[in-house]
Amino acid sequence: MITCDLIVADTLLTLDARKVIFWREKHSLFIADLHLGKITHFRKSGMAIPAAAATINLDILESLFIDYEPRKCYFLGDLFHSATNHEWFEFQHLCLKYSEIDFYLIAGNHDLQLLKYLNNKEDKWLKKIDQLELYPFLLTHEPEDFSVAGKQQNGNVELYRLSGHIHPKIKLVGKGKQHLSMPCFYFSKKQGILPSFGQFTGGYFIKVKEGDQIFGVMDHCIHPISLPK
Amino acid sequence: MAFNKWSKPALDWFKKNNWRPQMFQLETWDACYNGYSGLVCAPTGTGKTYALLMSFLLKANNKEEGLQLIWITPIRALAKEIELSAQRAIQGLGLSWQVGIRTGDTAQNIRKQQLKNIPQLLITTPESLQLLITNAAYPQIFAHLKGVIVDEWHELVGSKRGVQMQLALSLLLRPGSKVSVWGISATIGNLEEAADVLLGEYILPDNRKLIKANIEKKIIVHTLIPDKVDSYPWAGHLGIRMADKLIPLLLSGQSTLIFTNTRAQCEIWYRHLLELLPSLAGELAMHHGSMSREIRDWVENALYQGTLKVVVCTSSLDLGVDFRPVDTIIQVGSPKGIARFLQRAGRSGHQPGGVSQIYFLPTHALEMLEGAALREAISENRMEARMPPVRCFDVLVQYMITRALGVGFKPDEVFEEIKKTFAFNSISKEEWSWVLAFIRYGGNSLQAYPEYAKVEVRNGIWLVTDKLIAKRHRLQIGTIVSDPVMQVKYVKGGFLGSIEEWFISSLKPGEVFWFAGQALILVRIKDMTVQVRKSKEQKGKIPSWQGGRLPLSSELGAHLRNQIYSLHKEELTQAPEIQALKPLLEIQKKNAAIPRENEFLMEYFSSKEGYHLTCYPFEGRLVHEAIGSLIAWRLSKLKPQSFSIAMNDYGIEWLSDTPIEIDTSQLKLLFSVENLFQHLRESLNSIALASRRFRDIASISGLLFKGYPGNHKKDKHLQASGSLFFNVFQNYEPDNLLLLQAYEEALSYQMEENRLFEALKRIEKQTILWKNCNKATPFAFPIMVDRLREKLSSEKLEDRIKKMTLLLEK
Repeated sequence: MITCDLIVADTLLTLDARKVIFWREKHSLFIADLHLGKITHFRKSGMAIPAAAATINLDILESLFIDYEPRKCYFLGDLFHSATNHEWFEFQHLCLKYSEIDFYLIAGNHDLQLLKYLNNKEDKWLKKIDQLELYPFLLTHEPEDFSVAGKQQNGNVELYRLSGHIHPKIKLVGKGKQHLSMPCFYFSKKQGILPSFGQFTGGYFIKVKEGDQIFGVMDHCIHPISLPK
Repeated sequence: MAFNKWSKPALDWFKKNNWRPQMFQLETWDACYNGYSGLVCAPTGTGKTYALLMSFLLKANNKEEGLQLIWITPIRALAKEIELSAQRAIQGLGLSWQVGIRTGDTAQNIRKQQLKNIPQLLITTPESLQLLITNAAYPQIFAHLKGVIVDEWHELVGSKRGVQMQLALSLLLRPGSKVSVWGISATIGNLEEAADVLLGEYILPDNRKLIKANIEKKIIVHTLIPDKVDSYPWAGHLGIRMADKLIPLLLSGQSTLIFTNTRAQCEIWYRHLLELLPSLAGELAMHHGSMSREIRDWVENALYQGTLKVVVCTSSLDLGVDFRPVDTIIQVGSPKGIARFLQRAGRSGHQPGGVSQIYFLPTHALEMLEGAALREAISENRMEARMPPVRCFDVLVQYMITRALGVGFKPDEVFEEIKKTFAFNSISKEEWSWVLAFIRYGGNSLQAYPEYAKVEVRNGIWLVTDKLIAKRHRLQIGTIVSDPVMQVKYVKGGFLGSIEEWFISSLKPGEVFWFAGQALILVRIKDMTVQVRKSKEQKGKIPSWQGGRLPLSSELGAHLRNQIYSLHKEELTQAPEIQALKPLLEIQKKNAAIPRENEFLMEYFSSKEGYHLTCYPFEGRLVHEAIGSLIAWRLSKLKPQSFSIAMNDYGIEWLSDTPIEIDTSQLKLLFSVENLFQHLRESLNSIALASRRFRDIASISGLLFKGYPGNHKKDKHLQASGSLFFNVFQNYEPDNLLLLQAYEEALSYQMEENRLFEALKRIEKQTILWKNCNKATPFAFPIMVDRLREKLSSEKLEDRIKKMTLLLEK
């Protein structure tokens, strides 16, 4: 399946195989870890990744704007990979084209540093915040267990946290030495973590506990993963 | 020929040392003196160093300035020994040449000194030679060069390091140069071809000589035979059960090397021997490639001095300096190839006229046959060929950047040079343009990519001007790609060696594991370093290292088949191994059959597990993997069915949950070579195989950056895994030559396509001998318990995922 509906914190969310979450009721799109500029950064350093790969992020992004017609779009941090380059301007161009959408950046550490390089006048269209309470959700960049102690205060413990940052992945094993690994959506009782949206990003094998829900993403499909007993 | 006037100083010096020049040495002196290039084939310890060195020294008149001769050794550890030999000869001839060593171990200040005051003879490695080319002064450095000698060429010819060497030679032997090139090789199956690879087209056929030393070294092969074959395991891979058979050998010999096939096996044997012979403590050591250089050097030195009685080792001691005290060699398990077995046998008996004794310890009953097969192969002087890789664009891309680092290059000139190498002889104009576009624009030149600026073009000269790019490239020169490893150190300091990351991640702090012969407690992991403490614990996990399991060579496989066919001839079955195997062979005969030369045995039986079909091509694991998938795919085309496939070096087993029904008339078609490659592509997961090959290619061609030494975190933002690159290329640049190379390598190395083709052609000519059996035969049993099980699946991804379970991270 390409999308998968899921109730989290008594709220219906749609997981999309393009590695985003859509909150239909609020017309809101959640996207984590776009890592804009990563490919260009590699190329600038003399590592020849196909340049075409840089544009695919934006193509997918645009397809989401068209399919879901969101009113709000939240980037859950790590929007940038490194010092600005033309990828940023192409991204800005795309976002300005969809002026009916409000864009928010839940900025990670990384983002804040890089934002300084940007011309403030030009990026008014992107609202930058540390974290955002959006009942029943709390949007942050880093997940709870992984955040630096004391840096983020969780204002309301009742809220269900949605974040990115770690690029969750899982590994499956089967008979005959088969194995598969893939990025995934992760939902525990307290928080949900989105896979990294960026095409050229690695991942971190997450630890799964009882009661967690995992949705793997592979070959343009969402695969609900059953937990071992 | 032999008593020319010019050779008198050498003859005198030999006489003074009480040596007699050998025929091949005289021949080499003569050929070299007369300006020939070529290849000398001589076993180690027969004076090959002086065969070549002397030739160049005899021409010297002591007025030479600048670098005269480059000696390439693939093994750093050998450099010192060559330096000593060279200095002795230089002194002996009354010359005043300087000798320098330049390898990865050479200190920075000495390297600098060498450039200021370059020695006449430089001993170096293929990698360090490439680094020298990145120096802007290289045209001056090489200006007076007369010769290049490539030692142990058999070690290089079949690898990408050999390709790297060819490229360096294409530069040193540019048109107009007077450099002659000599290779030194051990006996291999394709010596003529090895010479062609070394000499390319820059040395014309009329100016070449192939010189073979006519020295027969006597080798005696003993197979250690279990007391009761019936009770010796039919399968297994450690051979520990026979360890007590070694005791008398170990105690009586002066010094013994025990060769094992894997590092894990080496660790296990070391522990076991220590328990078995506590009296050896202090005189027993181990040696494998993951142990720290320091410890290995210590072991090698102790072997050299004769203070160690037994060393358990892996291929890490196949090469290197001669250990004169070693008089006994033991090979545990299949050596996989004839040349490798001989090489190991040759590690003993260095005294003049000495006989090399090697004991073969089979790890399961049927493996005893290999002892007989090896003896036959050695008596017939059959040896494996080393297939030279061609069209390695990853190595070419690396080399082009290397050239752009020094004084820069003009593309047309370089194209003419590299076309003369064996590896790039067939490169087309289009491919060359692709390589140029790749290093200049980072992809197809049809699009302009302003941000990519690795190489700049100034007045037609291609140059790297960015200092950071240059620095990173220098760090990455080389074609040996290692797995991600973590360093193992004591908390208080002291480096033990390295272990692959995935093994460490399976351990928790406080857990005990065995490494380098020590029981160690994992204390903590910090910055890619595993900190440990010694433990008194007797039990512990033993790390294993992935990869490196060589398949049985096709020559050894052929001799094994011969042994089996010859079981029908009464007079030939006198070999002790075959006598010992008789009870087992009787069971095989009774339950199925022993095939004759014109027969191909297939066995079919059922068990609790399901329905089994087996066959025995004796072509090694990789070819069997390909045949396994191919036949399963062809079977499933006849009737939808899914198979689990297992294989070892001897045969293949297909297991299914439903009966395997096949008409005998269709049997032959299963092994047909018709549409072979199309069917292979459909039956094997070629994408996964290519992805595996791509990691090395990406690393060699500079796509992957592994970071500066000791500075892991800072450059994280430039690191990405090979599989990420593979996916991006797959999606956005499917015609990228490096990607295509990965597919080609998957075919030729992962499936050994030529060998596969030959094997199927042979089977096509045989009659299929189908036997319905009651249970697993002695031939089938070892395959069934072998752990490498692959499943051929035509199921959809969704169904596969449903059947798999989540691997829990601890």
